[in-house]
Amino acid sequence: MIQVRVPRIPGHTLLHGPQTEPLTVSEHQRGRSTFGLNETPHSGGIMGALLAILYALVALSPLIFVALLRMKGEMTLMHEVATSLALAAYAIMALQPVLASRWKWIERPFGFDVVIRLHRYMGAFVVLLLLCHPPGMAFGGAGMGLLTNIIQPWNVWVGRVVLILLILQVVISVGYARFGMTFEQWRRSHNFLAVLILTGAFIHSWWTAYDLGPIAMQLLWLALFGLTIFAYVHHKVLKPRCLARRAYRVVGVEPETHNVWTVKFAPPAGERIYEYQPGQFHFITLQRLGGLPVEEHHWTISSSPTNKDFISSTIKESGDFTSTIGKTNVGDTALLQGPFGRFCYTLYPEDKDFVFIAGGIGITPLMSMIRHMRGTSKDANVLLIYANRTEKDIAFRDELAQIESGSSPRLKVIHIVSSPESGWTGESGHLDRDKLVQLLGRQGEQTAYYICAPPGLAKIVIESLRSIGVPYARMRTEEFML
Amino acid sequence: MRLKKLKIFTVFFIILVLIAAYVLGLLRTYVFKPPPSSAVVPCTVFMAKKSNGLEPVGCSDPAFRG
Repeated sequence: MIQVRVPRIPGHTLLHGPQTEPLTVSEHQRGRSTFGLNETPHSGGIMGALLAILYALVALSPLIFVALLRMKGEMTLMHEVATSLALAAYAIMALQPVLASRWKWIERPFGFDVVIRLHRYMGAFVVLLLLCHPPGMAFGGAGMGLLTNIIQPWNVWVGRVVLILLILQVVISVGYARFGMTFEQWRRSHNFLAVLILTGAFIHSWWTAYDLGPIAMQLLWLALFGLTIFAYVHHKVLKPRCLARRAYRVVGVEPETHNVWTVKFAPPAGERIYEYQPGQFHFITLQRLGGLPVEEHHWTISSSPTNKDFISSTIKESGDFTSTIGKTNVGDTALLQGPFGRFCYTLYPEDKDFVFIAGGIGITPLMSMIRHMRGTSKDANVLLIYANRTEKDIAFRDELAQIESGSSPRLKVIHIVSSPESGWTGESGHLDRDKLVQLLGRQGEQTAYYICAPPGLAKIVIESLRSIGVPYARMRTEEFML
Repeated sequence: MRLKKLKIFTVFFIILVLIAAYVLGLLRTYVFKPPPSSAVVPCTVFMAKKSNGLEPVGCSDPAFRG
């Protein structure tokens, strides 16, 4: 199987790299589910299907209610369709904070990347639905004044402002980097606009919609708005407070390369590290002294769950915030929220042999898996193809060589650098199709391929594997984007 | 595979919402009838005192006058 992960560098989207957020798959470790639930690795299918159906039902609940109440429309067909689109849009909007709330029972069956992608897709869909709403109402009998007249009731103006804010929200989310915004600035503006949009949408519909006359519709509207508020407050207020009461301590900050650092965290005294699977990621809020920025970022867990002393993330200096990561000190505190993701070999017990393909910082989730294999003495063949720009960019080089000299797993590491310096005797060049075919050699049909690299490289790798007959079913790819 | 399933679900969901909105629009325009209660138009009923008690003699809604 191939798993592609996307490491996140502020302002960019990467496909699996050291600075990434791994999306993981969970496994049963020593007879106990480390995913937190007693689920089989593939049980997410049923739960996922149920959640998908539930999502569709809630999104369509206003239309279902109107149909069950047999509510006669006010005007023309076009008017009623435009109304229905707005009703559905409101319910979908109400579910947006739920998708982004990081509830594990929602994330677990799909992976965080899938849930966040759905959040994005639905945001764009809501905009399209609501762009149809005013013209549909106007042409459907409400009159062109709805579109052209400045003098309108205040509740109509609230709807207009909400639509403008919604468009602004989507435009900023798609292109915040092009507007010179940092990831943190985008996140703050996104949260602020979300509050305005959701509140405004509720106010507009509550004071405008003829369909909210029946008490059942009013209760549904209040329930949807309540769900929105609860998801938002839980995500932004309750959960952070809960995490703050169980803040982790930084117990180690170690350089891996000239610009990559491993930060180790230990739980509060008397508590255990939360259970996770190799390859998963978590959100970290570093609380450091010296005026260093306090921001939440998501990074792959690079340690193995078999290590009970600490949990670590390996972070590359690649942005304003991460450039300060080496200034983190032992004794600093951090809020850790996790684990998330489905990029984990332990979720696929049928996989016996592996090809891991990493680009740059994309090595981190694969390193977690390799360490886990070593910690559990896994009987498996693992070929690691690790691409970097230069030799000095190679992280974990000594540890990989040490594991390679062992027998469980039977690890073979191939380093490839694109800009070799004098004295480099390993593979060199870009990891294109021909090079990949050469390095892969002969692989069995059941070999699983896990890919974690920047998007460009990951795309090349996936297309190359497809061209030599590796089916998607044996590739597990995972993107991480926010 | 997961992303592919997501795209399939998204397309299916979008089509479902659009069809549901259109079908509901059809139902509300051509099938559903106004509930009996909505046939009652709020208005002021003018009463007059007659020998056998109060009796309606008019309505503020023109449709019901006379």
